[in-house]
Amino acid sequence: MATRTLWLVGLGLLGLLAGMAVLFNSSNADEASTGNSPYFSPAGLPNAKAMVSATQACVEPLEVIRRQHGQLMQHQRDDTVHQGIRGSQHSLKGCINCHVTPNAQGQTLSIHDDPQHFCSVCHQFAAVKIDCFQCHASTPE
Amino acid sequence: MSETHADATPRRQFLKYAAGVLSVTVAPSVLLHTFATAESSEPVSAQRRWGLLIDTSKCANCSACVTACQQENGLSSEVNDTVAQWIRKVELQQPDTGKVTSLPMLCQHCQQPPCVDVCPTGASFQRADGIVLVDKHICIGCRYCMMACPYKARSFIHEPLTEQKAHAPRGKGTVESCTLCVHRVDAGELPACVSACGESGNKAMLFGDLNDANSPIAQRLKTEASTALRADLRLQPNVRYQGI
Amino acid sequence: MSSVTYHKLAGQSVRFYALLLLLASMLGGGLFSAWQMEHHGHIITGMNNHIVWGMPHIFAIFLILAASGVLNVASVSVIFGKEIYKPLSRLSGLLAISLLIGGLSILVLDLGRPDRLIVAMTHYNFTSIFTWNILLYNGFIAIVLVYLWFMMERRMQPYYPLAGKIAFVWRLVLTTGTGSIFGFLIAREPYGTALLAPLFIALSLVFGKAVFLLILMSSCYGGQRELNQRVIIRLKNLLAMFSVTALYLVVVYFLTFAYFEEQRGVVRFFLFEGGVYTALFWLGQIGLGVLLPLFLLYHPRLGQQLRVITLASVCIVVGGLIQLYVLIIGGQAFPLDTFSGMQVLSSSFGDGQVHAYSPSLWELSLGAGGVALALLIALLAMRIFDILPACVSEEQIPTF
Repeated sequence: MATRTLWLVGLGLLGLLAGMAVLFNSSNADEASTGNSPYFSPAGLPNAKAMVSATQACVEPLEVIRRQHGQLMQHQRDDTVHQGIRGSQHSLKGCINCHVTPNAQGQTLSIHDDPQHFCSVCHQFAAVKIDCFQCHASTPE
Repeated sequence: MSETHADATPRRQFLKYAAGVLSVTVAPSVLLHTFATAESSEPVSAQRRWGLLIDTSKCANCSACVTACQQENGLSSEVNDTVAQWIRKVELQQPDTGKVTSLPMLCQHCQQPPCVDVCPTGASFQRADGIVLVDKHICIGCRYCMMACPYKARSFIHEPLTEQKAHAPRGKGTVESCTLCVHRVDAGELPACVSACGESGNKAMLFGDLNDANSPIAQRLKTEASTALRADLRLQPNVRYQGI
Repeated sequence: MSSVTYHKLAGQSVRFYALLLLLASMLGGGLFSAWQMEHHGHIITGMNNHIVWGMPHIFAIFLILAASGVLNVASVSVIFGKEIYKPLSRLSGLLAISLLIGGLSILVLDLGRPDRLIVAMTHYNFTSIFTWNILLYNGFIAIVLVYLWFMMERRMQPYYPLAGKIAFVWRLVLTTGTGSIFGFLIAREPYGTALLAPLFIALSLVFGKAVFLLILMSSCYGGQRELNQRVIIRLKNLLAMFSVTALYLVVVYFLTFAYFEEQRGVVRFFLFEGGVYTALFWLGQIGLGVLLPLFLLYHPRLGQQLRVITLASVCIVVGGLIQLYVLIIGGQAFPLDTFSGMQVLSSSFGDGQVHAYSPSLWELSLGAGGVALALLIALLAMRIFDILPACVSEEQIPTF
């Protein structure tokens, strides 16, 4: 009897630890699945400042950028930080500069102040917490 | 003084041999990373080695370099034990002669950096052109590099930050230090402290490519006396001083 | 040789559940502190850019040292063939694992980015002694688990001495690694010496033995089991001997600094002019942690009493924590000689000054939480598995 109680206590503690792990683990989630959600419509998002070319909206076809922007940015990030390769199109700074635009009041707010921030909208919908903006600027330069 | 990369200290050599035993398992991923191709600009190469020569006799009682660094990189101008300082002014006195020297103290960008040796995840690293950086994406905030640095060049971010500069991302829970304004250097500009020192008229800081024999910095180092701080540790810093 | 029977800790008593509740709430407090530190950043601790490792590291290193030292009881039985200790081997192995898990949990939760633990497990830099320690600690837990299994599984009995020998060698390497975390730091004068590795091994034996004695004695307190006084006396004799060894290494440590003119500042700082660190060194580390317990343990009459042995063990644990405080905090407070002999007139970053540190409650609570986790794991395992030897009475112990 007492042994079973103890097992329960032990399991409870493990659960507590797992809970803490989830609480602490704010990053590393799979960001790829946000693009093609049947419920989410990107139509409500503000337009970017410019098309990348006459025929293409973003630096990659929309299917690619929506699914893989996480991986693309991560690849670029490692190249930039470690090898000083700059000016490629997959930088976080590039995304922010083009996509984060003034709101109806003409203000450009950071992701911490604006629930309608370009990055927030999808990520909140998909419940994917990103930690990019603990360090990176979330508004254009 | 010999400045070649091959002149590794015994300490580092020992660690390298010890590392060799286990490194077989990680070698493939490291190699893949090294040979990743450039997308639009070239990776930095070891043909360049950025360095800084600081002439303390020209360093006046001003802090233009410190202010410029704070503005460029979005650092706080507050001074306390938990605020990051990438560059600081230090005033020294030679105890035997009484001579007073003022100098800027920053990451010395060692060629044999102890912070890189001790970092468990490889977040502290040295770029091919000699600049020592922290990859904050893989820094876990253990602070072992701060224990290992003999120059106290590094700071830990103790609080959540907001309104960082786009070219200088920084955030809570990671360690950081002078980047030699890597974003400016990659764009062909001078580090902010060096430009500010020049604009102030003191011109105590000279920045350039140590591997280019014709560069002003290499010329001066070749003809004039200079010293490395804690030269006894043989870390071969790329930042050197004159007049101390 | 008579076979020893083992049984579970009796768990029906109020005392048992009270202890369980106490430890669980301490653990809860530790986790809450960790969450606060994660949320607000290290600004809420006393740690800063000069004292970068603080109270959590003292608790963590104490637990890690005690973990490798506590295994010594099992090692003495399997390596040196001392049958008298064999019944205690299971407890020894269990504590080695639980103390290590407690210590490592503190270290992980103190990280600036504890959410990136996965990074530490996937990115390795093999010139870092930290990396080696991550592998050594995980390996230690795995090896001791196998060792415990071999000891407790009848079919595996023939192999357990081999597992014990591997565990013994591994623990020596592990403690060398822990000592080298500091020993490889050339930047800081009080640390850059290879002597820290053997010193840490000696300390691990002292801390491990004291913790083992305390847990062994309390596991019998009020229970149905009786203590075998002879085992306790032998253990306390070992404890005293290890304590003398550690003291000797501390003396040698300071002698090496005293020998070189440029390093005498370290001796002056810790032994004479270091203010709080000097006081803690003489009163805490030496007085409370070595001299008083040695007097108690070697006293012909007092040294035979269980209560006095308990007191001496407590002194050694507290003195040990103070010793680590002096070494870890004092070692960082000691000014770096960045400008080789130049006197620093002014600096905004504390160059040339002795750095101040005042630990916060959050840090203490995180450290205490790690201790609680270690004890909680041990307590629950003792309740669930047959760890404790049944009533080790005199006649069951073979005489030598």
